[in-house]
Amino acid sequence: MALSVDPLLLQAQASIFPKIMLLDNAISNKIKANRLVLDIVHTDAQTASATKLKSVIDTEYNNSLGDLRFEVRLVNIKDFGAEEDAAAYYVFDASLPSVKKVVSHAKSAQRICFGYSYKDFNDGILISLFVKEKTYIYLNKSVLHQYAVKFTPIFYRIAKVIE
Amino acid sequence: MKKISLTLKITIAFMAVSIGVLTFLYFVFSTMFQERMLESEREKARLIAQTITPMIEGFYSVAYYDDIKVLCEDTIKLHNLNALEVIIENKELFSLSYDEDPDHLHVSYPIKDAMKGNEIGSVNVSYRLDGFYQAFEEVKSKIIDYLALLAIAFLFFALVTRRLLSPLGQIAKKVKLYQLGSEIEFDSIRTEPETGAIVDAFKKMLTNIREYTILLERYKYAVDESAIVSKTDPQGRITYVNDEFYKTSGYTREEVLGKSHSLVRHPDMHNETFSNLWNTLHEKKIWKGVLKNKDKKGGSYYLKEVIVPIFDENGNTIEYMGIGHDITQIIRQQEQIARQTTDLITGLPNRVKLEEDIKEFKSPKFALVALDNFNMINDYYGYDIGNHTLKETAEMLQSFIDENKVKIYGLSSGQFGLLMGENIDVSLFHELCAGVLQKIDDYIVHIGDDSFNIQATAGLTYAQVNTLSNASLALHHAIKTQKSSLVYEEAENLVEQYEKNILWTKRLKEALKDNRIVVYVQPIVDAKTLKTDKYECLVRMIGEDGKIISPYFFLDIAKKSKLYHSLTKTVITLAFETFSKLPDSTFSINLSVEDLLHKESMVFLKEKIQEYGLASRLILEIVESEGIENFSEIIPLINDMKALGCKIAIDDFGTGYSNFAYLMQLNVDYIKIDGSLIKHIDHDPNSQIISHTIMDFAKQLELKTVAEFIHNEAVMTYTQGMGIDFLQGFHLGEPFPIETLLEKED
Repeated sequence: MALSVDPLLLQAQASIFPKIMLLDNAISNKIKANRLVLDIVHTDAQTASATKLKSVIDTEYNNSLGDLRFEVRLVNIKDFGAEEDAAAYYVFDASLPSVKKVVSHAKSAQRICFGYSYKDFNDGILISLFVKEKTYIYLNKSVLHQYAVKFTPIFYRIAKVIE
Repeated sequence: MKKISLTLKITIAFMAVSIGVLTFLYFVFSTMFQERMLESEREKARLIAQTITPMIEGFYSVAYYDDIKVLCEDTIKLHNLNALEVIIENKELFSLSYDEDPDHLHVSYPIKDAMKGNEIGSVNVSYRLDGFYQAFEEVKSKIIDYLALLAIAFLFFALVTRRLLSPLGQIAKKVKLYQLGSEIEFDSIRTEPETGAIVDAFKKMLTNIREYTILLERYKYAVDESAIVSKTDPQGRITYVNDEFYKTSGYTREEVLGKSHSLVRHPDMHNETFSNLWNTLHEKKIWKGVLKNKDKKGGSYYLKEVIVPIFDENGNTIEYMGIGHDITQIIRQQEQIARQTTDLITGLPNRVKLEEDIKEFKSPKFALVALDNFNMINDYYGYDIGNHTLKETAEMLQSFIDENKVKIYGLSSGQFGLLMGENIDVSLFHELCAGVLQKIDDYIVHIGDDSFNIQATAGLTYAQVNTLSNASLALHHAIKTQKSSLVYEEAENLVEQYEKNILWTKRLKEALKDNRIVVYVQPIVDAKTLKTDKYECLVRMIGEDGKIISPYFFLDIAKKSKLYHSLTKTVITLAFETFSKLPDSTFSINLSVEDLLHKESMVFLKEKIQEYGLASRLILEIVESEGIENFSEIIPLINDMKALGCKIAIDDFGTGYSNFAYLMQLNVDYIKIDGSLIKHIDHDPNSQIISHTIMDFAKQLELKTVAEFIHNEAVMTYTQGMGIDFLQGFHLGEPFPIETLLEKED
């Protein structure tokens, strides 16, 4: 089933999520071959959205994030495995059973897992973003320890911590 | 006390100002700096708290309590903190303190709930000020170092200033050693534009001094040559005199130097003058005045003197300089003028002064007071007594009259003048004059054991023009009319009379000079035969126009102006000359009592009588016989004439107060009955009675009678009938020139 995504939300997430990756205190440990990688894990139905997201991120960041090279990969959920070594992951719908392994992998690998909707917090994603009258970054406090990701302290002032 | 040099003053001033400013700045800046630094430190502490607080809030919001601890530990280590404390919701999440120094800076920053924003706790920071104080001390140390450097700079500045100002000192030194007349050499002095300007100024000043000195020398020379110059010390001892001093006083320099200036002081000078002089000089003022000095020979000279005190730079008198001009000649002239305006006998101002003073008043009031019969006093008592009388009278007047209001003058011939100005009322003036006359009247002049009274008459006038002459006229008129005083302005026709008298006097004089005084003769006929028996000689004047002028017009004037005797002599001369050529004619000449008493005239007559031998043909008609008061004088004179052979006739007999008794005393030969009795005798009973009385009287005394004023036939007839011996009048013959007799004779 095709995901109905809000292009504005997608635009905002594409703009902010890569920056949040830089706020990871252990980001230097998550650089591979001198690159930061963000995997957008999607289903077949989410391919267009994933492509769209990648396109927006690439356009904005032009394959660089700060001083680092930055790569956005589209990974079909069917192809996702444990050997995946991205610095951070993005899922459109964490409630899908197929996507749960991504969340688990992210936790165990102490990688950030971004979600399209903060409603997926129950499904274990760590960070999401919502645009209303303002842009809100949501941080899932209940799973923060599980992820064992430590952000720059200022991130905790920026993000809305959801219990 | 030694004066401080300019260099030192400048340096001290600069140092004082600079140190003062720097000290001020030091304290200001150190205080401000400390404040600012402290504030800066406080801000740092606040910033630290402010910086970590969001992190603490973030960590707390995600329950990362260990991270809070780590953050605090890192914070307290890395920064200059003494203590850090985090308290959230009354729980002390972190607290670390090194010591309890109260000088640390304490800052507290609130911790807020990341979601809700409400204050849930605080971060308390204790900030160390060690660094601050150290830094502050370093700054202070730097300032002190700068001050020390500045002090060195001051010293250097002082040395430079001293060097720069040294030319001023050199200039001052050279100028100080300057002597009048010498030169100052400035070329050796190093100069900058400013000091060079000062040197140029001094050079110009020296040039000016030289020029002024030369000028002063010339002035001094001019003064020395033209004035008498002397100088004394403050005590009055002579220190200098010029050559003129010697020329005037006779004293040489050697004789006067060191002596008191009173050496030349004349005894006539009053002490008050010198008291005033010295008081003025002691007050450091210039004294001006006239001094009478004594020269070496004891004579005197006058100086118009100016004495100037000379001061030193402190205003103290160091000497007195006197510059005088010899005005002896002027003084002498003034004295002479004073003598000329002073009556020598009374010491009062004289007529010259009077005439000057009258001009000062627009409407003067003047009285001319004459002592009655003053000439008699001189004649009887002598001129010494006369002068004494005048002096006493003057003194009496001066004591009686307030000379502030009335000026008194001593005039000639026993006369005094009293002059008052326009501010005195006329009535008061009258009163004064009356008082003066009364005073004189009451006054008794004492001459040794003798004494006599004096009286005076006054003529008053208020005119500024012809004052003296008007008063004189009034005086003479008063005397003539036997008044004590007369005011010119109140007397009628005085001027006319006066002018008339002046005119006739002049005419008479000219007539005498021009031989226009002639004799006319009128025949006196025998009453019975009507043949001319004798002639009466009558004086006439030929006027300038050739007309004959009757003696009525000039005879009185002749008496007043003392020309009368000249007339008498002229008549005598002409009559004698003529009748000496008429051997058969008898003639009469009129003689007044005045003539009889005039010695010169009588001598002249006698000489003529003797010269011509005409005594037996001469009848002397005595006129104004009623005016004879001193028979004792007249009778001898008449007897003298009779002794020569002359006959005597009494003229104008029978009028007024005729006295038959005196007729007997005079031993006359003829009685001429006055014309006023004969004029109307033909019809006037009174005239007839009187005339008959005279006739009878004359007959008894064997005197001949002559009736005058036979003017008509009736009168002639009557008088013939009376038995009068001779007749005279226009009816019988009018007067005609005496020369005609000679022509007839020829």
